[in-house]
Formats: sequence, structure tokens, C-alpha cells
Amino acid sequence: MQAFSRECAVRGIGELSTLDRKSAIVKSDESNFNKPEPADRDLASAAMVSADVAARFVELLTAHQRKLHAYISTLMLGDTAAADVLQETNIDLWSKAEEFDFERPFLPWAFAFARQRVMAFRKSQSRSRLLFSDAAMARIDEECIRLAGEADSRLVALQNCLKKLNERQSYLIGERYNAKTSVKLLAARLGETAHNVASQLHRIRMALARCVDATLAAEERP
Amino acid sequence: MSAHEKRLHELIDFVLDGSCTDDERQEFARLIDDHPELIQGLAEEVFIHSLLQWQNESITRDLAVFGESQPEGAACDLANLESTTQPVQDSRRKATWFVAAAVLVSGVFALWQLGKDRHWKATIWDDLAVAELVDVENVTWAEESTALKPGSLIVPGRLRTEAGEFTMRFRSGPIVHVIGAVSLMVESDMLVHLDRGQATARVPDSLKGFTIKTPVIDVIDQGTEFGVATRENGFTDVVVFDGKVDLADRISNEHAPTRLLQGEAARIDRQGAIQRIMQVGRDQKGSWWTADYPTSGDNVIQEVSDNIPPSDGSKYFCYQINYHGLVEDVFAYADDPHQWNGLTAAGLPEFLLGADYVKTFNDYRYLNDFQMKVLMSRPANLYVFFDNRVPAPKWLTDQFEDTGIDIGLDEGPWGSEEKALRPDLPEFENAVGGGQSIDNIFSVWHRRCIDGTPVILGIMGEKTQARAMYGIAATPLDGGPAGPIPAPMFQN
Repeated sequence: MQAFSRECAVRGIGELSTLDRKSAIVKSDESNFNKPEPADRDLASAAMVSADVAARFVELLTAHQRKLHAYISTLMLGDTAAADVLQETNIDLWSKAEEFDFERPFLPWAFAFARQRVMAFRKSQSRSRLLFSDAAMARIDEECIRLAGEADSRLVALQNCLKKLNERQSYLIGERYNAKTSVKLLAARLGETAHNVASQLHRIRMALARCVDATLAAEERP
Repeated sequence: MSAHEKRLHELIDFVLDGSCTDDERQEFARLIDDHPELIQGLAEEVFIHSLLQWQNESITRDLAVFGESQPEGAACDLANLESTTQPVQDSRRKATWFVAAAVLVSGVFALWQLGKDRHWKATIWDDLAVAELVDVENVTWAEESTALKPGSLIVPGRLRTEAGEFTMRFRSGPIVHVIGAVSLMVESDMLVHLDRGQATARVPDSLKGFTIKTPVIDVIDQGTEFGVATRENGFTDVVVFDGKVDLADRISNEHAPTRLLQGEAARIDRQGAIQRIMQVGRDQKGSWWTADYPTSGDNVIQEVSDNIPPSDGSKYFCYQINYHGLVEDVFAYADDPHQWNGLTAAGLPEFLLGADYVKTFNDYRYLNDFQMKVLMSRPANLYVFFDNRVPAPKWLTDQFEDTGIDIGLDEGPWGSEEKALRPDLPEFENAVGGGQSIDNIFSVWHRRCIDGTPVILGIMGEKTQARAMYGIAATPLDGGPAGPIPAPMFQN
């Protein structure tokens, strides 16, 4: 058996990591999106962050992880690479920490970096990924910003809504998200068609979405 | 509901789990472009999907590894918190993130102060890595292979290939060999989700708890070498080559884990039912195994089975056929650490070298109603190695001839449980090479197998003198051992 070859290592860098590929960072061709300058992740730049700024920035970054992930994952329509894009966004954000104005809200600033990363990812994976029009993408982005800003309260509401599912619904959600069973495998196990199971999961998610909305609306009422 | 809305709902789960075809993906994108009124509902549903993913901690894994570098006490505190209520889980997430970020900060400042000329991202991947690739052969990584990072590092994420084989060394110690068309999610240095394909893990004795999860079962190592295969039909095969594993039911979660010991194997169906696998075949290098019957024609022994009902305690006993595997110092039994050797330094007789051989069960040596069936895949020389301490039984003398050639059995150490029960047992150790540490002599019996008629083997004998179970080997009738057996396709 041969050792891990240089060819494979190069392929790993070239095909799997967008981190090295500054050329993949979208420049200025998507007019619908407000983009910061491409991040420079040189060590020297990151190391210029003062200890005080670093501590405050860490706090912000930590507090907004859930919202950032929700934004990225939704914008990528659930693509499994969302965790990687979040990771790369975190690195971008950290490398620009010294530029952040603590007098301004963190999330819109962070979303701009995340959006840029998602667009770069879409571009690098264009052959096999979803390709929406710019208009559709901008519309999805609007929805993502609206929803992700409330990710923390929506997650708390979701946890209560999950308790209201019946046994069958709980089983399907548990298998799909806890056990990470694919729809096709789940369908085979249940002796049902994949479309039937997908349809049930869709209905459960929509019911959860309505439940979350209703919970938040009730909380807002005096 | 409009037709396009219905169609969108049909497609969305396949888009979300990545199993859609290119045509379906394009159709989905077209639907969104053509019907922007669907976007709000779509975003809300995908948002719930994202929160559900987050809730099940499939996202924080990437940075949770930072927390593992904390002092032991801190790690214990976090582990304890995890098992309590949801608010505490939130605290733990925040704590993990804080730790992650703090480590990030301290790492950056340390590097700055040292003036190292290292690229930051390389440090990041190195910190995040849970394993390294140590061998790769004929692998083309699918683009979803997000776990693979520069420098042969593996971070939490997915690995997917359509062919070839590779080996990962996890930083916690296990070495995992993967072969064929495989899709797996590396969760941490102690947890892998095997969604498709075959993996064989060797875990240090000192480490317990390394887990391979499949859609139907959690295979939890208890210090061992074991194999797991997720088959296309959703079934899971598990075989234990050394040590023991626990199988935790993922379907009902109602039962205590089922323990599989060395030499045992089981197939778990989609309902979580566990059945015995009668045999597995393994190549000489140990790089692949299969619970299916080989179709290449290069193997000599095709099938072995016995008449032991599951209620007799042999519920998961599994014969191991080692293709072309008979060489000096190979393990003779699936359940005991004894080895076949030549009687002198010259080693095993040349006509046996490279033969297919079966690891039988030494536990079966005192059974009185035992019957074993052996089926050849081609005309063959079939050999039985029979303990000279026991008179040759009728089934042996009727069907085989004594070649007049003997080989030896080098007995390995007693198991710790047996030794604890009987401290008076003599000490045994395996030695290396022919003629070393031979404890018992076995005669080599031979017969020719011309057609496809199964050969029936019987009991060792009715008396109860000390003995060891017989061994089985076979070579092609028309000459020496065949060439290497290609690995199965593992499509199942």
C-alpha cells in the first residue's frame, strides 16, 4: 500500500478546502450583496488584535455562533458543508477583528462575511450545487437575515414545540436529525416510499415552524 | 396546494440530505426561480432544519475539539454538564465556545510572541484535526469530503469515496482501515458515523469507547480489532477479530447492549434484529473482509457451516476463512490465541503454505453432536489438522488419509477471566517461527475434492482427554495456491 501521495494531498487542498483559494472569493459581480473586503488571514494581521479587543470580540463571536450557523445553513439550503463554511467565516471574522467597530451591531457585519463565504462556496461548487438566480438568492438572503436574527429565541421555542409532537413524529425527527438517517434509508426501514417519508418530514417541519412563530408571537403579547 | 408547491415539498428532503440527483437539483432550483412566492415558506422550513441540526450538536463538533485540550478537571466538568438538562447543554455549548475562542486567542498571541513564520490556518487545521491519513490507495475523494484538509489531516466532517482504500490514525489511538465505496462522517477522535461501506478498526487495549455508528446500530469498542459494514440494503455487519465490542440498539433503545466477543459476528437488520453470521472471509493482509460468498473463483474454500443451534451458546460464533492465509504463526482458532507452526525451524510443509484455512472454534472440541460442513469452490486438496492426543474418529479415517506429516500448535496465554478462575493453569506464551514453543502435535490428513459435494466433518471424540480442535485448510487440486484474491466490490 502506498503512502498518502503528494497528488492526493494536492487534490485535497485544491478540491476540498476553499481556505487557500483566495481566487474563489467573490469579487464584485453580485450586486445584491454588500461585501466586505476579502479577508486576509495572515498571522501577522490576526496577531495585531489587542488583548482587550480580542476578549470582547471572542465574547461576540461566541454569542452569535448559533445565529451565524442558522444563517449560513439556511442560505445554503441545508448543505452539509455549512459547518465548514461557518468555520471559514469564523476565521475571516477573527482575522478582521481589529477592524470591527464595537459601537455598531455585530450581526449584520458578520453576516456580510458569511454571505461572502457562501457565495464563494457556491461558485466553487457550481457544477453540482443548487444554482438559483441572483434575484432568488437575494430573496432567500432576506429571509435568512430575518430568521437568523432570532435564532436563539427560535431555538428555545423549538425545544418546547418538539415536546408537542406525537410518537410517530418524534420518531421521524429523531431518526432524521439525531440518528442522521437518510430519508431513503428511513423509508426502506419503515417499508414506505421515500416520497411519502419526505412528505411527512416536510409537514412536521412546517408544523414546528408554525409552532415556533406562535410561541414567539405569544411571548411578544403583553 | 399547487402542483409546483407539492413538487417542491417532495424534493426538499432529498436536497437537504444531499441524495438528490443532478436533474432533481436543477428542477428544485428552477421551481424556486420560477415561483419566488415559495421562498418564504422554503426558508422557514430550512431554518427549522438548521436549528434541528444545531440542536443535535452536529455543528459544534468542529470546534468542540478545542475543549479537549483543557485540563482534566475542566473536561470532566463539561462531560458532567452534558448529561443534564437542556439549559445546561446551552451553558456547555457556550462554555465550549468560550474555551474554543480562548484557546484561539491564546494560540494566536503565543505564535505572535514567538515570531513563528507559520501560516495561521495550518495551525487551525492541526488543532482541529482528529486523525491523519496514513495510507491511501486508488482513492478519488468525492467533493463532499469536507473532513480532508491539507497535510493529510482529517477534521470532523464527511469522507466519501467510490473506490480504493485508505487508513486513518485517530489521535486517540485507533487505526481505521476503510475500503470500497464509502461514506462516513468523522464526528470526533472517538466517534465515526459509517453511512455506507466497510471499516475495520484496531483500537489499543488501553482505550475503551471508540464507536462506529451505522443507521441501525452503535458498535462500541471495548479494546479490540473489529469490522463494521453498512450494506446497501440498510443492514449492518459486525465482526470481532480480537477483543470485544458492545452493540447498542439504535432502533428501540430498549435492550441492554449486546456484547460480541472475539470470533463472533452479527448482522443487524433495519428493525434492529441481530442474527448470526456463519462465516466471514478475509484476505491475507487483513485489509478487507466479507460476509458474502466470494465470486472471484480464486478462493478455494467457499463455505463452512455447522449444526449448532443458537440456543447452545454459539449464537454469534463466526468461522473465519483466511484466503491464501496459511503461513507460519497464524492464529489457528477464532476464539483462542493459539498458532499453527512447523515442527522445526524449516516451518510449515511447503504444500500447505498459502493455503486457504479456516479459523475454527477451540470451544467446540468437547461437543458430542457437532457436525461441520465444508464446501469447495473448485477441485481441491482438503486438509484436516488433527490432534495426536486423540484417536482418529471414524469420519476422519473414512474420508481422509494420514499424510504422515505433522505440524505443531503453539498455545497462547489463557484469557484473564480463565486465569482468574483457575490460577493453577500453566503459563503459555506465543513464540515466533517454526519449531518454537510447540505445545501439541497435529497430524495432517488429506483428501481430494473433485466435485462440489460438501464434506461433512464430525466431533473430536467421545472421551474427554485434553485436546485442541481440529483445523481445516485447502489448496487447489491442480497446483499451487492461486493468485491474490481481489477485494469484493462491497456494493452488497
